Amino acid sequence: MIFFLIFVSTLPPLPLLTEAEILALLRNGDERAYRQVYDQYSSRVYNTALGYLQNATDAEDITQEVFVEVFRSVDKFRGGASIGTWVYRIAINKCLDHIKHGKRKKRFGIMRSLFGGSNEEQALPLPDFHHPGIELENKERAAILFKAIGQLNENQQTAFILTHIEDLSQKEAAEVMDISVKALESLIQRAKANLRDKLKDFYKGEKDL
Amino acid sequence: MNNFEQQPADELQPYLQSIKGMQRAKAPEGIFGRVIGEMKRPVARIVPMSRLSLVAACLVALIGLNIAVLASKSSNTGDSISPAVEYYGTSAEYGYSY
Repeated sequence: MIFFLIFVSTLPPLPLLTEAEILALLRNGDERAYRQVYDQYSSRVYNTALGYLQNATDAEDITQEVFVEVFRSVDKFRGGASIGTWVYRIAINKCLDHIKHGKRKKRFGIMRSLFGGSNEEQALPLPDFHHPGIELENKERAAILFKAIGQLNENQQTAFILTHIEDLSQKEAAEVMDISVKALESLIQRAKANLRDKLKDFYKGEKDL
Repeated sequence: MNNFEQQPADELQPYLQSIKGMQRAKAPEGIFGRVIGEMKRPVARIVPMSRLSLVAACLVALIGLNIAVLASKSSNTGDSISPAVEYYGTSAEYGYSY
């Protein structure tokens, strides 16, 4: 009986399918296709979200939101890009929206504190973010770098996260951002210049020790 | 660049090295279940603010036009009375002058 229940509850995995076939199954609401797409891209989405939001709980929520949107809006996907590129774009937009929403809330908090409201949330400093995939001896430096990444503007941040955190090739990252490879290179250069500027003091401090 | 030249220390390099070869973080278990749960929930339809303001603008324009039409009608009715008043007034004036 138990064996029967297990057999019924686990659907057989899909054979290797082309993107067009997966899209057709997604449009029909096939749960195995959902699972396949999720298994293929969930870690990419979660890791990208971690790079932007630097908070595990927020990254989890964003991952959930991204896949709900992917599965719900699959009818609108015209197939101009690959599924992976499309999923990355949704993830990036969700992360940037989340950051903007957070900043708006912060501004509202400041306004409230100016007009005499309580400001307990503001008083708490942001904790250092420790990415789970970084080796122990690098954690401190990586935390400083992540803090600096969070201060970059949207485009530079996206270019840096895709190429250095997600480890995409420049061609792949340019495709996700819908820009030329040249434009991406320029964004990365500017991002690095800004990071160098922000990390100068930390570097000096480290050398003086 | 000449290999023997001393390059200036790059402040960014040690920090970039710290994330080199980092493992991609794996999505925690249970998110897929939450996604499927969310998919089964009925979708709440959200009317975008732009559409809502467009509808409001149309309503305001419609009400404005109605008011304008009513106002012009009432002023027209006033105009149709005034010549008669003027006429009688004038004839009365003529009458008094006789």
